[in-house]
Amino acid sequence: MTSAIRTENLAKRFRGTIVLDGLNLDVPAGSIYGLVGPNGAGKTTTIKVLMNIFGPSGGRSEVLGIDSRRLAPHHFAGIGYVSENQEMPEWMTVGYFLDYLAPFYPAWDRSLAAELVSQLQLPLDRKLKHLSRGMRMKVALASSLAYRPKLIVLDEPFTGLDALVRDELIEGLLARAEGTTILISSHDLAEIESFASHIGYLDGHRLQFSEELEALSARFREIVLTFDAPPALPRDWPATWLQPESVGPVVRFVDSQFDEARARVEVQALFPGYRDMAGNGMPLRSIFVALAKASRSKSQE
Amino acid sequence: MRQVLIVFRKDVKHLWPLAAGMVAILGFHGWVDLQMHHGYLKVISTRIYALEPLFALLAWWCLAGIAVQQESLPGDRQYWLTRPIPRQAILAAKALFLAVFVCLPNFLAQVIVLGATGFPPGNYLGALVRNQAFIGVYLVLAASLASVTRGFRQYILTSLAVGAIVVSSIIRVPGNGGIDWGGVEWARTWALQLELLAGGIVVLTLQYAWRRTLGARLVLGGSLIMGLLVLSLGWYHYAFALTAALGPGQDASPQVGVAFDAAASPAGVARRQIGSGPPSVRVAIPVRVAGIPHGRELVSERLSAILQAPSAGRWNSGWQARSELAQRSDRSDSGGWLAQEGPNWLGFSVPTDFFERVKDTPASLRVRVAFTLFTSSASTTRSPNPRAYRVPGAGDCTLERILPTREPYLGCVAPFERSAAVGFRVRNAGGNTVWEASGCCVMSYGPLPTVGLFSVWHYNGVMGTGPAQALPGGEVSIEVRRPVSHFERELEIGEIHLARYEVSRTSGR
Repeated sequence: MTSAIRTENLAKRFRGTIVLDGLNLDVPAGSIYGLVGPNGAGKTTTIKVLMNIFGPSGGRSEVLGIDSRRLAPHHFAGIGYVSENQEMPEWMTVGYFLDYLAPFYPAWDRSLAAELVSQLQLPLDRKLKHLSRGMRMKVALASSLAYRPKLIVLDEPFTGLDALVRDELIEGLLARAEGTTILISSHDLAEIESFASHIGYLDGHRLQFSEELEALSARFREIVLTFDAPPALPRDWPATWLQPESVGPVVRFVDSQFDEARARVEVQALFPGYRDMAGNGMPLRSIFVALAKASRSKSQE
Repeated sequence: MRQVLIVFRKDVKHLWPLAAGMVAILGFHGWVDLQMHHGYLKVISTRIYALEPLFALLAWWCLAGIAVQQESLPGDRQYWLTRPIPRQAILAAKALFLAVFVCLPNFLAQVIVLGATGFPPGNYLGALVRNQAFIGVYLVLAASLASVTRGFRQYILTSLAVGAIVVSSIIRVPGNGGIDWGGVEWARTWALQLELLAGGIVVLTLQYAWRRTLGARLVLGGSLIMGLLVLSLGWYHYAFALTAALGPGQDASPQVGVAFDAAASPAGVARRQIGSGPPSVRVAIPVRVAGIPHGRELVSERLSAILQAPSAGRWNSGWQARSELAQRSDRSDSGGWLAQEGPNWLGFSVPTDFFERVKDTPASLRVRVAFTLFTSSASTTRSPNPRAYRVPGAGDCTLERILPTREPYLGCVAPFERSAAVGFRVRNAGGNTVWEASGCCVMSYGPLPTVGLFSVWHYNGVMGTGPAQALPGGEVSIEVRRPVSHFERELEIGEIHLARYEVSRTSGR
């Protein structure tokens, strides 16, 4: 599978403050890639470097095979970019905004734009400054889908939106973006989980992992061990076991490299007296929290 | 081009009320220009008309800022940054917008003003186009400032701050040779405009080609500082030399000489004055000017004096505006024309403290005088009525009375250039001179035109002297002189006692 986006040792500093350091990201073409990470991890900066809004301080990045530093306006005819904090021409009506943008895109499809307007229930005669936050995001999305881009980049599109609007946005996005590569940064892990094919976790200025969501879900398990009596926790744990905790006769931890046979062997070695062992699948949000906590405690050490 | 027009149409749709306002202001300005033709002073003495150019300036400065900032360049959140809208197309659209709503209406208004006042616009086509280009220089400056500022508020505040710094610097910097360099002001104006244009182009290139806001801000700041230096440094001597080199070329090297007249009696102390400047002593050195060609008249533009005495040190006047070579020691012959050889006075002001140190000891004096040689006056005679006269070489002249003193004033307006020095003489029906004036030289010696901007007129005025009375019958003669060459002469006096040549003292307030 070829890459729609690829970075090599990408670095970005702002007046000496390191935001990205050695970022290696690979977004496969056709994938829906969720870029997640705690606040300040550098998700927005990564995207702005990819969109050539910022220049990188080191390393390199490619978008659709083009060095991001060389992304010129005409390349954006095939790229859609939607951001939560984009400054829009407030005086324009929704209709005029779409009409204004259309001639700049050779592939702009007026009937598709009309469908998007209808599907997202956009008020064509209302000025952008009079729209709610959710409605503005819908306008931005519609204006980024009407030319069938090869790549859509969405930076925190769901922040501050109610559930209904989120659903409408996701539906609008998925229904019209078949075959399009989507890179989406978000805190809303539950939403990301519902449609992302790949996940990248950004923390500590770099990508901690990047893989298919299915493999990630298979890799993380919450292990629950039950004992007859409260056990003593061993001093040394495997590095892949995160967040160990003991409550009475129950011990829990997150296995970040779950393999049932191997897990049983390791548990047997450390807890020879356990009565029962259960490996529970984890939602993305729980995986994210476990990783964030582990990262935090590691940095505190 | 298609993309340029799309952005242009968008700007017109959004900014049309402002653009229409700009056109209306320029239309009004054209009407004011028309009124000025009939009586410049009468018009500009009215408050609204006096403020109107400032209003027009503010209007187009604001319009330029707003237009450019529709697609703001500093920042990382603008929607258009990730759209296929080329920055070059945006820049071209802004240029088109400003050309259509500032330069074009101004051009048309000026064509109408010229046509309505009897100056065929076709004869001034080059000047009309050049005038819009001059406006373009300042539009480039406004656009470059708008391109590095975040939002209109920052743009206006920065503009005001820069304006205040420029004005206060020009006023405060000593040795500048005055705010107006008279006939050679053109050189400073051109140097300033070229410097600002170059700086503005670099800023716009940095921003629209690469979006390098920090670098562009540094360049703009450097360019403004350079502009300030151009305005405030005393390079009058070089401007005069350039003017001489590029001048009309007639009488290229006249045999004019200036010599110290040691035998002449000193003028004597005339009076003491209170002035706003630092305390100074005015001295008048008797000299003889020789070699003025027949049919020519000489004017000393400025002079630079260096006084040196072993016990007192050295003092350099710089090219003072209030120094000259005149026929009388008290400078009351305001015209300053030297038509004949003879005794003259070389006058300049010395700071009082230096004068006190040097006055009784022998000092050496070295003076350089910048001269302009003019043709003798050519007269045009008309009956003295309040209507404008067409005077060859001077434009359309009107004899006005200035309230409240009702002093006579001759004002001449000519499209785009002040190319001659004017004076006048009014005689009553009995042939006696009632009023006269022979001023020099509110004009430009530049081989290149100076700015006309929003007015077609370059004004040349001179105030007359004589009794307050109604416009008499008889005739008015308007005298026109044209410059034919510019040159400097040097005078060295090995030993002089300045105390002998004191004519007046000015004590600071």
